[in-house]
Amino acid sequence: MLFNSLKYAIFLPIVVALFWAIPQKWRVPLLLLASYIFYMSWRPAFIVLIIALTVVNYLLGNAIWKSENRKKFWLTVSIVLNLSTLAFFKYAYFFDDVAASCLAPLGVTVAKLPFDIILPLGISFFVFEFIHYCTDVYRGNEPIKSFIAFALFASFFPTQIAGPIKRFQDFIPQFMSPAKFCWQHFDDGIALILLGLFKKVLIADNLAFFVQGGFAHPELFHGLDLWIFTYAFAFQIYFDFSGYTDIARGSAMLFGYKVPINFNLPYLATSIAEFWHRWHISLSTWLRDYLFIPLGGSRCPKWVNARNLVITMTLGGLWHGAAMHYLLWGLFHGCLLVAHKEFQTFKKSVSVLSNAFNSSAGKWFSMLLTFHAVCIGWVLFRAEDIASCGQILEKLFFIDALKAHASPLAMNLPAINYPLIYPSIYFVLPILAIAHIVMGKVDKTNFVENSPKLVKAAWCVAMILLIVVFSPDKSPRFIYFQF
Amino acid sequence: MVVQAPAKIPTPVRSKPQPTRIRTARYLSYVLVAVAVLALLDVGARISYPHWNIDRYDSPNKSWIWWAVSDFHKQQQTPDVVLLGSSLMLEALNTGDATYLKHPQNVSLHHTSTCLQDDLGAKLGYKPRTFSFAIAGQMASDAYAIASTLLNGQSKPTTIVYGIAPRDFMDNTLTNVTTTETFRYLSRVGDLSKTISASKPSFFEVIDHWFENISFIYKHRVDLACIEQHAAKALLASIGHHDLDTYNVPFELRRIALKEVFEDVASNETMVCPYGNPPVPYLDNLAEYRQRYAHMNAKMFKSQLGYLEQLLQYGKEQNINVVLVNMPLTTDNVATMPPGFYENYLAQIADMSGKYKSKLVDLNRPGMFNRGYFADSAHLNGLGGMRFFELLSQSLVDNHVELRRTK
Repeated sequence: MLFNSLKYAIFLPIVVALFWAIPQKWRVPLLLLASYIFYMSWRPAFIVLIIALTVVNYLLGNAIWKSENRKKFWLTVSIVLNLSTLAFFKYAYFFDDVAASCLAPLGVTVAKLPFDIILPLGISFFVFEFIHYCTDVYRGNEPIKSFIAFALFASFFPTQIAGPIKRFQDFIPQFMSPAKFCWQHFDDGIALILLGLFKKVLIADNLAFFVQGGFAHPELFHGLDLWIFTYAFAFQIYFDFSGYTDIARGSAMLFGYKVPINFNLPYLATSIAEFWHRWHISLSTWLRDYLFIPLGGSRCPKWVNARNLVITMTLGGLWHGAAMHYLLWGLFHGCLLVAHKEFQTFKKSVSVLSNAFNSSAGKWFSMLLTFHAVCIGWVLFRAEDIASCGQILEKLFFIDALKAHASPLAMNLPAINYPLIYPSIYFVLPILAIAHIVMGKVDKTNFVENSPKLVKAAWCVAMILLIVVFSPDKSPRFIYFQF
Repeated sequence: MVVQAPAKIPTPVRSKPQPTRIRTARYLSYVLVAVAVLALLDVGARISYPHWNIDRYDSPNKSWIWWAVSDFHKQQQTPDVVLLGSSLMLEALNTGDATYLKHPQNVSLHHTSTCLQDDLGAKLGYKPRTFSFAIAGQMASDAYAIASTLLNGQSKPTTIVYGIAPRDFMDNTLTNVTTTETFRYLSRVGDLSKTISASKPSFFEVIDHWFENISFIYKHRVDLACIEQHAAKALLASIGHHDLDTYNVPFELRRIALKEVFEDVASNETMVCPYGNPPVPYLDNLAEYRQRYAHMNAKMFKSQLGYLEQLLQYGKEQNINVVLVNMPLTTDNVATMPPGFYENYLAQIADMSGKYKSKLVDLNRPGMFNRGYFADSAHLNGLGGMRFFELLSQSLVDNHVELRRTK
């Protein structure tokens, strides 16, 4: 059941109405039931997996808490169990392929897996939530007493498929305290859902159509064309994922629950480190707390710190998908973070450089540089395979980088009747970039929260009309569903 | 002694009664305000709709049916013979004409059978005007929708020639007759509400239809999309972007686009070349047909036969001759059907045409088309197309089918 489907448009209001109509004590069980129905709407059999993992992690959490001297053992069991489940469903083919290609030169043939594996939706997200739970119980946080509440924490339908990755310390108390219907929450929830649909259906889906052509056949394009495709993908993935998160947060808000934000205008970051504080925040903080810090964090010798950064980001890349280009994407970001850290140290020692980067022009330059570094990363992320990734990067930087067509293909591709609202990409990308910068300024003044209700109402009307008129009959899945 | 006047007892200032409870400001839900504004806009749209100047034949997607309807309206005179059918008819017409005229044909724009016209002209001494609404994947329900919405009044032809084959009644990928592009497009053009309500739509289609009845804006969202598209095209034209209905990218890219929006067809989308130039080998597509016939949906078959009957009934009511043509198929293709199925199909078609006194021309009799006339197990090649129209015109003449009211 996709968030941008008629099914969800019927499902959500029914669950919200029932939630507020029934007594308090039945609300959490109702949400759990609704979450399981939501999950089963995709492939009913996989409900067994999520229930089994929930039961096992609940018991392991209690075992860690109660155990006097075997806490570490139970934590290890929990981590191994969760990661091996993830590895089986998500990485079995990848490991098989890697083993086959590594052993082939030695004359060893690795057999193909004798069975088909289907990746359960949202597994990467709920497995990370289970690991967080067991680890935090190990670190001294009291486990969740109610099994139903624990089960709902892991399967809460707005965040079930693509996060944000929640923390039980923030989330569970919201279940436990009696909820009262609040019109403001209702309004803000609906407004967030509309905003999310707007981002997904009207922006990301239209850009997807454009991007797909460029990345599938890079051999047909020159450097400038490919730069435009890359910029378009940067905005597509941002609007796709942040649109999903807005719908998830808005849906949760209709029940009076708050889910953490996941994005904070990432392309305004002036460094790669800041980018990761603004992009997929729930994942980057998870990686920091449960991977980077346990590896030793930053309070260690320089090279160990660099190693930790690279390992964390490479595994973070691999989390996105079982393919070599995701791994390279993570490695690339790890290297960028190490380089950034080194540059920061160097910058501090040279006052002229420090002053230059702290000036207004310096900040704009940093922002532009960071954005382009991130865009290069997106090429690794989006490319169909390693070969086409190499071809795109080569064209972006070395071959014909400044050569555009007399009549650029990029200009002509969207000139057919679809996408409807964006017949030309040259209008779209600058508008999106300007909107991003304007939102950065507006956000600082809490303009959206403080604007008059009539303005908010007008905004809702405009979004509803645009969505109604321009929604395509079918919409591609959210990009992050595949992870 | 001065007696002081008693001090006037001050009258107590009556304070206003204090409310027992502090009144909190009522929260005004901006979402409810937005809903109220939308309701007003909806009413406004309903009232102002006559002034929108909407062309009901306009569409944001230039689909095959859009191109056909657009071309149909450009005809100087009403065609005498209208051809209906699926890709079996479409390919016969385009490859046949391309071979006959020795010139590639543009499928988006070519809607006349020159082969048939010239052949009939030679046999009858006058050339009936033909027009083809044959579209790939056309089901009997689509053919009925085309006839009932477009072929009436001044646009009524003398004869409809409808090429049929078993697959036109049994597309197992079709969830509902109302979901085809032809049907969706024509439901804006004419009144197909009876067909829609009789088609047993799914729960979500019912909800969608119900929502269309409530909201005028939702019902007319395609009109609004057309308005926006015209504005966008005018904007693009102002910066030198003309001719937006053609594609100018390599076909590899266009193919990707087609996967996503298959209903969108550019004016230069598909060109059909004359037979043998370049040589195209015979394509074995039996596996596809085995799949089609193996998952035959009996309900769908029965329902589509019902639409064929409605088409024949419509022809009778409108005084339009309807000629059913059983399209040629290779013997291999027929052999992949379940035992007895083809014979049963033919018998039912024959019964129905007899009931409505329409002509049935069977062009799939042994010896009529050998394998050399086929591009694959079902579609004719250029030579086959030419032969098909030659045999068809002979049958029309032999059966004394009226092709033009005023000669």
